[in-house]
Amino acid sequence: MRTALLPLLLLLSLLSLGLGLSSGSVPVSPGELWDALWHGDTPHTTVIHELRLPRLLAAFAVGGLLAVAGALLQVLLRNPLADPYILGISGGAAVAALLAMLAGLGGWWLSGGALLGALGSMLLVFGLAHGDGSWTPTRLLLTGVVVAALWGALISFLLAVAPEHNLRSMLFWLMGDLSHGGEWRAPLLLLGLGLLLLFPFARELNLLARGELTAGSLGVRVGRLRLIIYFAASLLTAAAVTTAGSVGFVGLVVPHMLRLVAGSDHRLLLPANALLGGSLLMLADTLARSLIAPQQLPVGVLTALIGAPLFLYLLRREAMR
Amino acid sequence: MELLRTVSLDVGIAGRSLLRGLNLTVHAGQCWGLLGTNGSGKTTLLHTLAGLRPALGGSLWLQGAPLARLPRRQVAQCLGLLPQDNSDSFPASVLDTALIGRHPHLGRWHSETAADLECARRALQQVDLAGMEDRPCSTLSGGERRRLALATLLTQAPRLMLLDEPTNHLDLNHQVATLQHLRHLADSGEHAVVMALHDINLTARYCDHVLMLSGDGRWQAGPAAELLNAERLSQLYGHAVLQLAGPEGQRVFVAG
Repeated sequence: MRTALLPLLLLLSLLSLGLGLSSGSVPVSPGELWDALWHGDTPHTTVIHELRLPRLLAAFAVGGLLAVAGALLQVLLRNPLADPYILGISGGAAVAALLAMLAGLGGWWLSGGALLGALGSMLLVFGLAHGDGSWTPTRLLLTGVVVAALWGALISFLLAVAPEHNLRSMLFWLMGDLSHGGEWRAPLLLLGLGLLLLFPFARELNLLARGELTAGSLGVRVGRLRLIIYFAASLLTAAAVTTAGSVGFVGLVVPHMLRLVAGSDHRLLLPANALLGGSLLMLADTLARSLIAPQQLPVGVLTALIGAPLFLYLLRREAMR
Repeated sequence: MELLRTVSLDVGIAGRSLLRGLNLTVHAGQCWGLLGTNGSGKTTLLHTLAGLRPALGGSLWLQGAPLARLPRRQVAQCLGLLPQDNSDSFPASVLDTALIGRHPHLGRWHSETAADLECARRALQQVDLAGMEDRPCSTLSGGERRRLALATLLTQAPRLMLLDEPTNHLDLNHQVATLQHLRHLADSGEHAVVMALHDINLTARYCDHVLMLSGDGRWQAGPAAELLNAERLSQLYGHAVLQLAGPEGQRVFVAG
């Protein structure tokens, strides 16, 4: 099972990519897709190369980033219910993004604002929780949750005062949305880079998941490792949120699902999270743009609709064993 | 061979001083029992000796080197701790749990070899968990979890083993088997054992040295034969302890 997991997930990713490329308002058959991808200059080349492929790659990157960040935060907080947004990072990004929308700014202003908001929130929570240097998972969790609640209040305020014509795009951003034709190179690069840099720490993550005392007595520099996890998870989340808004559920469910089926070794879990999170979001986004085409749904709605039953099924299977 | 030495070590927690001026030398081949009432600082001392919390004063030497300045991984190669309780919030199998004991012996870029797996399997056998390798930890009983934690320590195989109440949750049979195994390790001359215990009779049977903590800063250390007597124990626990002679002439202590 464990040795076959990564090849299986890779296959799933490729299938999701293929499915996403061939479905939409203009259906493309597998043969036509192959021609459009490799031979260029077919009737579908523009649709595939300029619309669907970038959007699917962005979806893959965002899903992967969120799942990996979720897995990291679950270890850091030693809480299987932690998700990338629990510490207020998406809230900070959302407040900044909504402000940019209200000011009538778009494009780079929007993403740049979201990134600044996410990073600002990350530093704020860290500063408040770290205090004299004796931060504990509980203190970090409480600080993050309260800061997130504060962002939540600000978001509600902004939605309440926003003019009618802005509301729809604001709501879409909050639910997570890939229809802006967002940037895919930066998040994909960051996902690859993040995995590469985190991989050497994967065994230490396994130990930290079993408690600070165990990790410390087995030679892990716990304080340093927790700093690395916190900032890595925050940056990955910030990149995802900047690209697609706060897509829910992927960061909570994918890491948890993989723990249920694949055990506790993060050398396997980190790449598996990237692949499964990426696949799930590609599938969700494909559905989001084809279910009620030509209208589009926010992808965050679909991730929860797909993820929740899948997760409940796994949980039930686990309980039956 | 000297494994651990403390020089006028002060130990405390939350601003409260528990132990003052401790001078202790632990040699390979020794088995130390750590006695004291609840809250007298046994756990705090063990964590301090393991380098997991700073001492309030004094110095701590591991095989002649200052422990606080050694890289953590190097410390973990020759010193291991069995914590008082283990909590697992994430699913893991028994074998994977024992296998984490190899962590300090593996480089950042290495993964476990067949020899490491063998080492973990042997440790599981030694704590009577053979055949349970693939079970999820969540299905183990309290005593089995305790033995699994011990197996992790045995897989780590440090020369100096610090154990915080190793017999917690264990039945009579496994209490004796566990302490016998630790005694056996010490007798090999390679290892030293320092363990907090609440059972005076097991201490008398398996430990050659004892360290008694009063909890107010005072301490007594020395050979078990000298220190373990009714008068000292009564004083230590604030409760009358009677000394009887067992059927084979051994000392037996009972609460008065």
